[in-house]
Amino acid sequence: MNAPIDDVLERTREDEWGRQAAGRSGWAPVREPVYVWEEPGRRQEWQEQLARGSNPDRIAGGLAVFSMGLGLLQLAAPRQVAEWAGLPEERNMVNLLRAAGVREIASGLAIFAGATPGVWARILGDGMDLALLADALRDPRADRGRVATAAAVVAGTTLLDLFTADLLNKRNAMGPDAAMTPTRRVLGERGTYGSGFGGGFGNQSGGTHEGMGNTLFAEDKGIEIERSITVGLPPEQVYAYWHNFENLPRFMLHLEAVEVLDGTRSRWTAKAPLGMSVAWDAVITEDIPNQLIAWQSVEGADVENAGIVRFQPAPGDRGTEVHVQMRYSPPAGRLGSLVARLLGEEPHQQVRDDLRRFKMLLETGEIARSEGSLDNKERSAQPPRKNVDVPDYPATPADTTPADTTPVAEAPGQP
Amino acid sequence: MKANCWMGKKRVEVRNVPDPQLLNPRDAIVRVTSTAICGSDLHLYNGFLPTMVKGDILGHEFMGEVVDVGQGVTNLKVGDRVVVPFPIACGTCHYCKRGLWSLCDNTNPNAHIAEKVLGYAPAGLFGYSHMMGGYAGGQAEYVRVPFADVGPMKVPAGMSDEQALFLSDILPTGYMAAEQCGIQPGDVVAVWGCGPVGQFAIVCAYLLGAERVIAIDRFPYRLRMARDKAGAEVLNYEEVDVLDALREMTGGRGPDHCIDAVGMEAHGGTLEYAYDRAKQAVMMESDRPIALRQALLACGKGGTVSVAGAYGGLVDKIPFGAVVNKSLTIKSGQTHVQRYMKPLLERIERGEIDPTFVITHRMRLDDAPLGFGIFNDKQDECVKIVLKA
Repeated sequence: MNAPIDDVLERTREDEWGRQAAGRSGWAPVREPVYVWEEPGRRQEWQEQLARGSNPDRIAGGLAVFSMGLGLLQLAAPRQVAEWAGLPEERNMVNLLRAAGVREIASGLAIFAGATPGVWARILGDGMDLALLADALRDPRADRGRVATAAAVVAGTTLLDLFTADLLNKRNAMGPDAAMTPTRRVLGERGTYGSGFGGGFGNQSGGTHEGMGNTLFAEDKGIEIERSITVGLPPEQVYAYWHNFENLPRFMLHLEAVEVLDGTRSRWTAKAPLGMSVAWDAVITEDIPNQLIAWQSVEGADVENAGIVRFQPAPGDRGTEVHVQMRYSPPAGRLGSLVARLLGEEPHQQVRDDLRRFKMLLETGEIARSEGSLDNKERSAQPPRKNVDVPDYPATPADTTPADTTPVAEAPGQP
Repeated sequence: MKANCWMGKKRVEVRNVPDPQLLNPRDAIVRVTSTAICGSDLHLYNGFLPTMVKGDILGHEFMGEVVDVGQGVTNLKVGDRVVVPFPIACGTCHYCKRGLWSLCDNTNPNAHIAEKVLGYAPAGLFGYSHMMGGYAGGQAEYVRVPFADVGPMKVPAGMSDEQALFLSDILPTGYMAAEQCGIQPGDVVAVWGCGPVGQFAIVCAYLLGAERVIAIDRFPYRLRMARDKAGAEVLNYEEVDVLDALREMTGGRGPDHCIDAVGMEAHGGTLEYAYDRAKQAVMMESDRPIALRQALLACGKGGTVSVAGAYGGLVDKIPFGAVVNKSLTIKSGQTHVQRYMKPLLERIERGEIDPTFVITHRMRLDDAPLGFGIFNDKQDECVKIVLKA
């Protein structure tokens, strides 16, 4: 029963951040300090390492400049280049050379973005050039001698590119600190550092999450959200308020209603884009008083979802940290969520705003409203018209664990 | 009711708009008897702050009579005369409890906008753009005041509107600016900006024990007010080299503390001003920190630069090396007005401060657009305009 939750949500984002901080090789003990005069070999090692680190980048930089220069030449004076290379100076060839020029410039720039992929782009380009030249050898209009020379030059460049790529490979394998240049940080370096963070932790190649997709959401990994807020009340009060699920629509504006059916089961209705409505039943899968509530939607839900909300004491006198981790599969899968996003729905922001309203409700007994943002629509900051329905303020429910709304700080002017 | 509405860059109009309604249990409605135009309103007027919507009611310095209260308000009743602080604060969140009222967590319904720009969202403000909450402001006949059991302060019968009005914003702002310097006996304080906040900063610096206060501006009429009414020694930065003058006036030490009461629309010597204006034009800089740069360079070693001026976004070319190598402290913030209202009210009652000295013009609400014009252009020796009902 708990398996989906354990697999899906047990690893929090904070765990991930911590793991990534440790680096590719995981947590290793801090190394003992080095007495350089006791280890003469070290200085030699450093010199070699520094050279190995910077040399490939220097060469790659040189190749980049060469690429861009050549590309510029091919783009600006293709006929001249054709003549030098012994290629027939006809229109097709001129266009081909221009295209090759663009490609050269692009691979030159690519090297600045990331040395390794840039150099490989060059190698591919070299291959194309060799093919072009080989083809030209069979053309009766070509100057064979010059074509052969050009081919030799390109072949030489290719060897240099391959050599540089090899050096870069060796350098990359030495670990993240090996490169001295800043250009290393971008594009393609994820492979070196281990699984990227950007894809959301459901998509990691870390290996341990293989089981995730199969449990709850067969094909679609769904949308994952993790957000937190601090509420200035003890965990008992915060937990109690949240546990009464019928309170949730008061601050979760997408919910229309929640009906508690029995001890663990409840029925939820929510607003969907374009004025539609979705519904599902959910069960509580784990419930540790004053600590956490885990839930999961039941088979046949319009929107499959599962999540955990944790309540933990905040440091000092700050109250309770509420951490929500949830995952849901919107109707119509990824396409549905894309459409929703285009219609202005942003689930991560919504959850954050829901939590903010939760905090307002518990700390002050009301949710802040301004003339300029009534109904969460932007309008000018003027009072709304009378006799035009002002959206109903969600009434404070009878069983709200009362936030002590007597202002703790001294209100000025009080007698 | 009539209200002064922002209609676009350099355009405000007094229009007929609906009267406010109670929206939350802890709201109250106040009938405005006096309100004012603030220097920070000019940043909205001149189009420097984003998230304004045509029709927004401006104004955050106001006072008046309570005409309606929500069920959650027990300390005020209809008829009470109150002055209202410009930050809206709940009184129960972590920041309010620590006296950091302008950082309230719970009063900005548009917190998600502010977060994107600032990292975390501060309190909602009256009449100060949607990023700061989208609340209707106080340059109107009536205002809805949220958390009315926390903010508004009752005004004693013997005190006139003009004596109490500035407790809503500028007097506490000048006071906080001076207080944040940590003035020790014998200290010399330099104040950039002789607008109303600067004038009050001078007065409060003396109250807090400064031995000398040197004020800097370029308008002779404002410098005259600073010298005659606030008691400062004055410098006109268009006539003298301020850094030089400050150094020699203080026996080579420089001022012990500096207050920036100018903010993001600073004006300066030709080249620097041109640079900042150019950058603003191509959106590479949003604020002009000319006074701030000067203050950071001019401040004596180990001093505090207290930033009372309003800034919204990004500034360029800040001499941060000066900050680090002179061990400077920078303190700033939107005023935590609620903290200062009562103590300053008492000082006014005891005659230690007369805030009315900054008022140069009294107008009706209908004249607000004209008022914005002369205030912005510093015409007719305008320092502070009070709009009366």
